Amino acid sequence: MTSIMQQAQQQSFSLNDLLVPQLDANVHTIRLATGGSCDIVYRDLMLVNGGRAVIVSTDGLTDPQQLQQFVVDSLTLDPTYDFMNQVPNTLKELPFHELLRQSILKAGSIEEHSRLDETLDALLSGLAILLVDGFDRAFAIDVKHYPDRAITPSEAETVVRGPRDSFTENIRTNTALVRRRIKHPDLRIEGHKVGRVTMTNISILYIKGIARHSIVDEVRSRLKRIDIDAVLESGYVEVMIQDNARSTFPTVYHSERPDVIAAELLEGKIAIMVDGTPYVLIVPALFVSFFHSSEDYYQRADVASFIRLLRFIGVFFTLLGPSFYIALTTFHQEMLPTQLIVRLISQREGVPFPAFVEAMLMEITFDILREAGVRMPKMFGPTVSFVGTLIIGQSAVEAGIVSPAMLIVVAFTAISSLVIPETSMSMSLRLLRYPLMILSGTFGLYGMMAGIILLTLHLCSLRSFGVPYMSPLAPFNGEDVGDTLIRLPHWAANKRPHQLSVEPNTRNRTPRPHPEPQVNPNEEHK
Amino acid sequence: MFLLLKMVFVISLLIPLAGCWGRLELNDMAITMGLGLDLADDNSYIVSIQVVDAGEASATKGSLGRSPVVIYSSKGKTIAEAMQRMTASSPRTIYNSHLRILIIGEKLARHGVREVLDYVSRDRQFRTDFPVVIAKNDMANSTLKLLTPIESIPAIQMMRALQNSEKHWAPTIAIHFDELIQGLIAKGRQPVVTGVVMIGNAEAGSNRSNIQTTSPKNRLKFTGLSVFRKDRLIGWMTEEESRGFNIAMGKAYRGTGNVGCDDGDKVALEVQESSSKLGSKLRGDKVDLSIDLKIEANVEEVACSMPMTKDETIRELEKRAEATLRRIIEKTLERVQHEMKSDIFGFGEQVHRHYPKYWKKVSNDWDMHFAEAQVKLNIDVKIRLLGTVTNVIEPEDTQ
Repeated sequence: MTSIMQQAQQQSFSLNDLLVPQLDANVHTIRLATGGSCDIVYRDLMLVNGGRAVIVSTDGLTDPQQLQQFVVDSLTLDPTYDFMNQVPNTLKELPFHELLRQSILKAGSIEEHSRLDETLDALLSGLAILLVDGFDRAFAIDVKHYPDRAITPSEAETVVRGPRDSFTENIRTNTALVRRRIKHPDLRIEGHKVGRVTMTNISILYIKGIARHSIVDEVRSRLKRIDIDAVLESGYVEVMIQDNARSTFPTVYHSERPDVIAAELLEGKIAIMVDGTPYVLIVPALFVSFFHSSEDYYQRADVASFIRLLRFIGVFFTLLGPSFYIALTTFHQEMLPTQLIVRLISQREGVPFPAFVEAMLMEITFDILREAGVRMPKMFGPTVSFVGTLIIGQSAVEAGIVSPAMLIVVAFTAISSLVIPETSMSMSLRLLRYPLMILSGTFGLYGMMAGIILLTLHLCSLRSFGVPYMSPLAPFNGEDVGDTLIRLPHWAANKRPHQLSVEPNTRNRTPRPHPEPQVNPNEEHK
Repeated sequence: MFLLLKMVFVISLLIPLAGCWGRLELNDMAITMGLGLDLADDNSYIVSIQVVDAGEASATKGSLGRSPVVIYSSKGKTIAEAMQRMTASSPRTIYNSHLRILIIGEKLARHGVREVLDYVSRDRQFRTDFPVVIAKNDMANSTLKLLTPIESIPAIQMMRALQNSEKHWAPTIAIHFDELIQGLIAKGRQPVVTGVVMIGNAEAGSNRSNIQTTSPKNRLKFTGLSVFRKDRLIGWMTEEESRGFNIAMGKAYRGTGNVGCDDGDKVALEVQESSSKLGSKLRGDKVDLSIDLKIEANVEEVACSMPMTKDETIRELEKRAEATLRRIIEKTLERVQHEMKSDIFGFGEQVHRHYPKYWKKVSNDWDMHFAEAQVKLNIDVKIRLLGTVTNVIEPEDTQ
């Protein structure tokens, strides 16, 4: 009876338990807590003072070489080395565990934990746990080595000119990539943990003295609010800290490019890194910044401005292309040039569906094709593009099911949607295209304009972490507007965005370049 | 989120209520390109429309051999009635916004156009940017029937030809619908309308074989202007008189005129700039009218051996050009003032503006006053450019 009771007591444990001086008991508790998982490895040791110790580590998260070199080697006896006699006397007076920590263990980072939950957390984060008999604490030795991939060029955000590196799934690599770009002590990286089960590491990055305190506090408090079991990607965090849950417009920006994150931090924004994903969140997000690419800032200002304007034209077509076509051809035929309307009618001869149904069909077809392109295994690529372009495109027209003009409109809309650099904004606009098509299919341009007005009102009502979403356009700020639809050259962009950064916000004092005195071609070498 | 769904649901309920009012698919439309209005013998109206067969008119992969346009016509006591009746024969909804030309038969024009033009300007579909022409000695219906080469849609062909000849040939000008309405409303100015004549036969011209030759036998040609008094056609000006009218109104841009040289040959001048100003001066109970005409021209063709590099030659040519113009305009004035007695120049408006009190007295029988008034012509011609060669090209042996 008593033995059953003892067994039951031994098998129950609480994460809040403290470690005990008995080595076997501690090892047993850890074994119980991890349920005998096969990737937890135990290594018995006899220390130089004759005491027993156990190293517990998670296989795969620790570097075996480091573990061997800095932990096991320093603890086990070297037959050629008379340890106890060669240790200086000052050290001999220390308790043995102090001696271990300060002098014997060669590892770079050692923490001490007395609680079971802390110990387990360290163990499962890839630290090696050293338990010493007679000592009621655990040493957590950093020999982490996560499965990781190399830093590769970004696939989703490509540039012609600009750095090629992108974030990886490892948060430490990611913070390092940002630190490499901003070597100022004011760059602050705050660690947090989110997720009851996943215990995901999250870092808040901001530059003290540039970012507004109120926004940093707001980010902290919103992160603290999160109480969820798992955070597997930054998207989990994004939806839980965003301002307006009903809007399709993203109010949190994300990027996998370290140069983008660095640039945004330097404007006073705040980055949130989540371990396990290369996508880093940036708040506050402004509407216009979703149409900016990092390359805009690396190119000449005139070229960049032109390309930005092109992008906004692309936005217009993405959102309104099919609706405009439907409205014009079914309600406002008088607005089309005569020759064009005759041509359009001749193309529509025999097409069985109304323009609205035709547009819906083609738009949905395109969205399916696009989704298939993203989702399919790579080896089906040629099949999808062949079937998509040839069969659906050409044959549908030849069979007279859709008109060529509609196909042109849909194709142009599709291409236009690809000029939006940020995918969440492009998805949002793709989604809004359908309601606008319904509006223009029922009320013509009148309905379309009503839709646009509603959208504009909605956009103006949005906020991201207290900053108006449409700023600096609405509310208008003349100094900040130089980096919205167009981009001013760097020598003219003297101030950081007012809404985001604290005063004084001067970032540039370089004067405007002007022609230097001409070099004398006849100058003698002296 | 739930609220949003509710809102979406409520808004979507509005859609069937609206019922897509005003929706018209492109392939349910019959686009009217030309509209012809005639007066039948029983004083009812004959309305003819030229509807484009889009599949044929802009076929990309070979045509089916059908006519690019179809004519529908019907009769009615009013234009609206006739238009309604037309829907019985047209398989598609008739759509008038793209009207390219309005043709009025001469009989209707002489009877008066006020009632029929009211329909066109009142209906919401019609724009006002199409030219209006009068079918001289003919029915609008048969004019519409004719097939034309190059532009497969005859109405477009007519409009283009009119616009083109307006630019390059002084006798024609395109009178658009809004200008005609303005002319009808305006006191002190009578409207003119371009005339079109059929060469050949309408029935033969409506066959596709008509345009299968290099020189179609049956075709349309723009001719002189018709002169209106109020809303009635009262007569036709000849080409020469129409030209005089256009020159006097400063509308002879890019028109070419010939001037005689010393040796009987001609020099052709092309008008580059032309501006005209009407003037009036009250003298007791009478009013003196004047036209100030300023023309800048370039030498376009030289058939005689006058030394073109000399200043005196140019002065001489300018003088002769002025004399030629004076002769042409005087002829027009003679006909319009004394025979037709219709103030198509708009001197009345000029008098109204300068002497409103006098105008009140004469406005009711202004045409009579206009017929009796003296019109003074001040013409100033300047020759600017001589072209890429200076003197005339002459064979070696004559030098």
